[in-house]
Amino acid sequence: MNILGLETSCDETAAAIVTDKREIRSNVVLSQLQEHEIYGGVVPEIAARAHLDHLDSIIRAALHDANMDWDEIDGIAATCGPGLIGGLMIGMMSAKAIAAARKLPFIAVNHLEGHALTARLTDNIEFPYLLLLVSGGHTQILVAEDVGIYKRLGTTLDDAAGECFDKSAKLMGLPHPGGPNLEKIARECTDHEAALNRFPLPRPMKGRKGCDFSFSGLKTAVRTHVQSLPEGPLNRQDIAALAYACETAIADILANRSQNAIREFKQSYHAGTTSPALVVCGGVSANKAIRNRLEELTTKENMHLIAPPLNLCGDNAAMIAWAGLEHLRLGHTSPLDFKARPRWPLAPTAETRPGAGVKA
Amino acid sequence: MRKDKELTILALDTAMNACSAGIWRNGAGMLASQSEPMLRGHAEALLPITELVLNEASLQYSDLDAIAVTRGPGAFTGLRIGLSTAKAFGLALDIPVCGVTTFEALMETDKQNGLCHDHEYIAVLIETKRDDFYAQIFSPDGKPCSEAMAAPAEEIMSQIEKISNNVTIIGDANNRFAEVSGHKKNYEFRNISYASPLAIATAACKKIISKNTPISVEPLYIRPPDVSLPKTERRMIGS
Repeated sequence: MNILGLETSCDETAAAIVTDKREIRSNVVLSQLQEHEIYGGVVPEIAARAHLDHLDSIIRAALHDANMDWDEIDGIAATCGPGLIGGLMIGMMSAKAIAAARKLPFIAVNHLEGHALTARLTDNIEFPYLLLLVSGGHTQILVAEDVGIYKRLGTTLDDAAGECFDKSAKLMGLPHPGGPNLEKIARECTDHEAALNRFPLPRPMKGRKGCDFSFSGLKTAVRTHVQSLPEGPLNRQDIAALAYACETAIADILANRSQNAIREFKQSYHAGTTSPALVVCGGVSANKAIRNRLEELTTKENMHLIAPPLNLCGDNAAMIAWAGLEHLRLGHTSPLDFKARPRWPLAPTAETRPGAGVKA
Repeated sequence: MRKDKELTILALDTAMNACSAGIWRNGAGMLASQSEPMLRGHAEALLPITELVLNEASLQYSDLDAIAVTRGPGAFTGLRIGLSTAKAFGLALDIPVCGVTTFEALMETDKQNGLCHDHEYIAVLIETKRDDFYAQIFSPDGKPCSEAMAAPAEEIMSQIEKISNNVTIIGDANNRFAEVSGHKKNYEFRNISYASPLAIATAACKKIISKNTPISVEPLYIRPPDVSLPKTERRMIGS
């Protein structure tokens, strides 16, 4: 079974083909980084225009790279939410049209489930598993119980982890995309001890019960530190130290909340799992300090950490094709009048967190 | 592709306050057509309407030779719904996609309604849902004699005056234009709320057959994206 997946929910225009043998036959991603750089963030209308301009040639490239033609494709999956509505429309309509014209099933995929199921594509793991979903738009801990069935253990009460990275990076004078640039400059920090002492930062929620997150206080503390630095251009070493302190604080928060989640998971699910896993996914999972911190934690807790390869951490269409494939082989398809869902929680019955907006 | 005279075209439109699809065959005319007025919901309605007209015409997607689509101006999201669908049909069926501006499509719709006079200039006005109007003026032979623009009523009036005193205004913004322009001029108005699939298909067919007319599927937004550069002064890292 070969599935074509399309992803246009934010600022990556992507198409990919995956097979039920867990092969990624092609994975084409066009990032719009440059288009948005001068605005310091993603501009929805610019993103939507770019998706329309490029998606058809990206699809052609995905077929070409896979050395396949339409007759070899068995289904079309597209991200239909959550995300920026203008972009979602492009991928969704393209998928509907191709599915209709080629008489193929159309599968509307939840972008978050794409991230959530990536570990089954890459590592073939069984349900249930613990899932830490960390991106620019979302920060949640869930239990993946089955395809389409997720139980939320915790969520951010305000900013997402990636948002905290991006906003902190902006305060530090780092260019878009903030998260990766913050990580890069943090590597220039040579005296870690001194950096942590010089720039103390809070770990909101740390030590509290449950698995919820909060990042807005951390961002505010970063702002205060930046304001305390000498006037004029910022000193590169100062920023490297502050970036290191910030990254460490985020990693600590994620590890602390994950630890609580691991305990909950073990109590409720461990009995049935031979090899319990914590899967970290989403754009922030590309951060090495966070991976290392989670690796330490899972080793201590006798679990193993599964983090996708770097090219599958950020937004991509291979994960969308795979999520579509998982649904299709269970017989799930979507109607051609499917309505895009800018908000689409993975665990729809979990209570909403007023401060978190779509991030909950 | 089939011979030009049997060319079968699927026409799509989601640029204005309707969702439309129609099947047209050169020489045979409209085989099926459906337009549903709607303010939103085009993305849900477009494929079901397309399947409906194909069924009604007893045709398969594989019987189509080309896709015609309105490429703007209009609601940005609406344009993209139609264009992404049309381009994906073109890609999946390996057939050409031909964009028609919403101005051309409305002018053609007006012509087919049969109310045009001889030697009449046409100003097509399309609602922007802001203070201004999308507009383009055409000469009696159907050639554009102004740029496609997003402009306030006064500017459109002054352009019209320069061109002719025999100008009829068509489109979906007539009432607001009459009001904003203070009913000063005795323009003739003909309201058209959306383009007909017949008009879109015939306008596209002309472009396809003429061979030397460039075919475009570029969206005609007219207006750049509404964005402003970040206002807050950012501290920068020194070298």
